[in-house]
Amino acid sequence: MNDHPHSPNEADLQAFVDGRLDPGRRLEVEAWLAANPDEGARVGELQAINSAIEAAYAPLLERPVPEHLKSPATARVPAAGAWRMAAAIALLVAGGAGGWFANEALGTRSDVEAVLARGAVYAHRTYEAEVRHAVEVPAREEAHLVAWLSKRLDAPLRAPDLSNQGYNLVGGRLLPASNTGPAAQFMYETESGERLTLYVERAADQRETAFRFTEYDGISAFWWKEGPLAYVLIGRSERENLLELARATYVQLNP
Amino acid sequence: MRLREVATAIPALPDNQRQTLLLVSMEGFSYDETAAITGVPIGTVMSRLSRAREKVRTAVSGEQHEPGRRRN
Repeated sequence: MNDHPHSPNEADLQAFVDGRLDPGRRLEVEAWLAANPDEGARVGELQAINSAIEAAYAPLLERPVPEHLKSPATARVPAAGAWRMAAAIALLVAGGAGGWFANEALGTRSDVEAVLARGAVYAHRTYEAEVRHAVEVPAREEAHLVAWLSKRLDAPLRAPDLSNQGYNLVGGRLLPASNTGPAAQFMYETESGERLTLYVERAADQRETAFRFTEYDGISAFWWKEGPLAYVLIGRSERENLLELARATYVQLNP
Repeated sequence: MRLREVATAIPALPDNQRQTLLLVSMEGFSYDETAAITGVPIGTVMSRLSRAREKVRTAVSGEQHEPGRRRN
């Protein structure tokens, strides 16, 4: 009964239960479930379980962080996230065998962010020292560069003009990204040859964020998310200077 | 759906399945984020999610899902 080309696989059904299919696919799955009542009943029960989880644990999510669960790590995440995370930890600890997960979960937000920022910093380090092959497409072909990268990321990109800040566009390249498809890298440099890169990839979700600062091996990065994209600006300049550059970039990308 | 049964079935899940289910269903993390948090490929997230939900469903309804009907 599953030979139809539009038959959902188990992952599709889980995404359906979570309401995370796009509208077109959702309709196909709904039609398929209507034609396969056994699976329809099972999926209905899975949806009910999801609702029950929300109902059962909603009160936990509203509770303040238990004093003994507070730590420097929880203090780092934004307030709302900290409550939710602490609630999750409390639940998991209460559920038994959750101790190891408490440690994992405390770093959760920064782990997700780290994947993005780390990839961007590695990409920066890989190409900042390149003399002859720093970019795939040079700045003199900027229109082509931007059109090409926009097409590959399936989102409208722009290369900000940072010449007022002393950084001129060198060009850009396409890079493999963590798990959201390809990434774009725009490279800039000063008269003295100091390089700055703007790394762009599709965001894993649409939650927007303020600027976040991170640092790896002496390389500083500010990252933020806006619309469908996540941006990381990476350089070796002082944090305050990099923040100014991040602001200039943000303003140009969101006029 | 009886809340008490769902609430008692979840702590009984293997750690990685419980973690995955709660990150997705309770915390609302995307599958990509859940994969990054738990350090496994997204396919593993999906199979853990499926197994976790099937166990909870079985515990609640007392009915076994036929393995032959599961698709991947």
